[in-house]
Amino acid sequence: MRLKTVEVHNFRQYKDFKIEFTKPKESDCDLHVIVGKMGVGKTNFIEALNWTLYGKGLFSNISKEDDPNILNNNCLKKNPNHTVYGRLVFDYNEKETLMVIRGVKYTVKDTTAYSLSENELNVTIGSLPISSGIDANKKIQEVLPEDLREHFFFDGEGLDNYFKNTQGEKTRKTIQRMAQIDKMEQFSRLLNDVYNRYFKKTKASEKNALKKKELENELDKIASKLESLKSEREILLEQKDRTKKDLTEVQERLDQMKDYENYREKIQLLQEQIQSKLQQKEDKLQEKFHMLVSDGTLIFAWASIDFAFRQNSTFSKSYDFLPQEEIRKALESNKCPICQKELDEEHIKLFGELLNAGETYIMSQERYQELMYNIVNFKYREESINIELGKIEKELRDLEEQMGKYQELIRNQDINLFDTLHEERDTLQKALETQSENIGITAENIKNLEQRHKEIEEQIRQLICNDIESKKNLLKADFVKQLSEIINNTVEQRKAQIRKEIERYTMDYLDRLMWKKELIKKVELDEDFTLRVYDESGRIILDRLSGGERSILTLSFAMALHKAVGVNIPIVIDRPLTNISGSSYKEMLEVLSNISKERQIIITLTDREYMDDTVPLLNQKAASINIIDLDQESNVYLKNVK
Amino acid sequence: MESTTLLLRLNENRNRQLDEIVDAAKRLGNITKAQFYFLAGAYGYYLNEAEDISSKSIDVTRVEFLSRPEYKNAKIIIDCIYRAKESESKDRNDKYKLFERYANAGVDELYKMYEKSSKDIEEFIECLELELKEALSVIDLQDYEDDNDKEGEIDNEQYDE
Repeated sequence: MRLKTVEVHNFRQYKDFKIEFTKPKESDCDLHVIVGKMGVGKTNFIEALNWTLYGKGLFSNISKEDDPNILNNNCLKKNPNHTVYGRLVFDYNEKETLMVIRGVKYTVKDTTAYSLSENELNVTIGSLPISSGIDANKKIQEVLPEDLREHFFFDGEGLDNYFKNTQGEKTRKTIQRMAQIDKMEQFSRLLNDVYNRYFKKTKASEKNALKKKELENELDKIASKLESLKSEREILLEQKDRTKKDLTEVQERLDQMKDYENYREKIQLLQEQIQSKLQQKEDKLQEKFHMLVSDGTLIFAWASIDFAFRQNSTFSKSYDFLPQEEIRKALESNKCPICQKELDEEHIKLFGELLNAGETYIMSQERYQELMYNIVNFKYREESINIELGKIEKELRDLEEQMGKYQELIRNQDINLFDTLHEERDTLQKALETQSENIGITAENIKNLEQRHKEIEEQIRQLICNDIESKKNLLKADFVKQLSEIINNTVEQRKAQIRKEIERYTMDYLDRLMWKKELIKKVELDEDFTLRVYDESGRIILDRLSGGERSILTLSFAMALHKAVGVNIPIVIDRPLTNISGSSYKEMLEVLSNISKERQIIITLTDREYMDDTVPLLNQKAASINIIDLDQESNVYLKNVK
Repeated sequence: MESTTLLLRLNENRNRQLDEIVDAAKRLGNITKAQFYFLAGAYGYYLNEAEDISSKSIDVTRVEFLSRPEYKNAKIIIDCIYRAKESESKDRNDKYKLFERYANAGVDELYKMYEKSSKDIEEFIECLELELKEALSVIDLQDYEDDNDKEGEIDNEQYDE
């Protein structure tokens, strides 16, 4: 089935709007694109489709068909009476079309709309108006079931977090209803009633009549108890499903906050590294300062050292610090003050010069050189320390920059929230355990009661008379019971079969659509109808998929679901590129065009998404591109059509 | 009885200035006040600034300490400065008094440098380093640097091998 024509009047921005989704004969793709700026009314177009089909919105708060808020704003200023009208034409089968028309009348008083409670809904197949009102609604539910609409109307966000909203119990109920399993179960319950009726018609002998009556009463009580336990189990399953969903959300938030933990650890590590670098810097500064003070004394006074040395540069040997008195005595005694040998001529001359130089300091060449090397060394050491300090400073700047980034990342995080979420997770985990336990206990109780039911039935059978009428009734009851059991088995088999089919179809679609083929190795739909996605190493990876990958999984699963329950309806997606990075736009559009080869796809895009990268591809692949805009009165009109 | 111990002194206010610098420098390890004193003396000599010791003077260090190995260079420069300036010194035959006059002026100059550095010891180090580079630039080190480079080259060759 494909949507052919949409006509909308007076619905929000859509005053008088008509659009055709024609599939050109030469094209095998049935992809239709509606492009509009933000706020033009792309989502309201999808809301108009939902309102026409179900009398309510999907993404907004249109909760009833005559909601006054759906009336076009310009209508509020003009004549009193207006009709909001939607008309959808589908290609129903190869020959016939299916047309859905919904109209609601309003009157306007003081710019406020009031419903006149004159609503109409008509469904026509071919040229025959087959139904209106409740019957029309039934027909719509049959061909475009409302239960399934979350699986064929998507918004961009929905594509990404579809599995959060539709997991488990909700999916199970949808499948049950769509695959007519609920009807089979209903039929099985009916057969059970019939069985009970026949069974009760059997008679016991007079002396056993009372006993039979008592046992039958007990049976009734057990049946009623079983009914209530089964409802209880349903409620518990729903609760468990909700808890699982809440737990997933809390876990996801905690996973996000894991980054916070990592950031904190990194900051701590960086702080330690910074502290160590600061210490290194301090040590180097200390070394440098000591050197500046110590060698600086020498450098500042160098002129005097140089002067002293030049004054006595003739003294090639070191005789500094030799006391004048000792020199005088040596000259007088003609003996060396150190080795006591007789002075030679050279020494006599030298000592004479030393004595003549007076009491002032004499710098030897050796000492002068030593001091000079001190200064040269200072120069080299200073350079080397400065290089090392520069290196440390740079490392410090890098570390501080890194720390700044992490501090910025955790600035908006709330430590209290982290603790609260931990507590919440523990509580939910406990609740989940308790709920599972309670479900187990309820299941056990049901089993025991069923067993007891069987036993009492057996006891009653022993009491039944051997007359013809009773025999007949017993035969009828047994036949109905067998029938009921066959149906129950069929239901269970069908459920398992549907699960397997959905798994298989999902994998088929994924193989065809996913651009990273090796990413998902297996999908599994468990008994609770929760989808698990595994990679090659058997790890569950649903939460690790990117926005684009999750969107493809969603579409694959939705189409598998449609196929398994036997419906073929168009898929409408509001802004499928919303949660996808720009680099994957093309891949996503390719995927959609591929899907459209077997299923009509209608998507909306913003003008920004319909740009250089995507236009050539869409021109090639899309069956139609419809650009919408607002006129002067803020009504939507079709600006351009490919 | 007059003390026989020879002392090196500073005027009271200069002593206070020096104490402030020494306190600030404590963060970077233990550099003694005496070390700063000798640096100040050398700096005063470098700038050719001297200031007489007033009646209110404070003892900073003892001359006898100059015999310690860590003050070996200080002892040399006291002698050399005296040797260089003895002709114009009014304290003939008293090299220590001459040095005290330079130290007094030197402390004041160092304190000015400290104030210019907003009393931040790291900035003070940088200013002192700049002054030293200036002083170093007029010393002819070429012959000695060449020797050092040669040694370095030899070391590198050995390292390469």
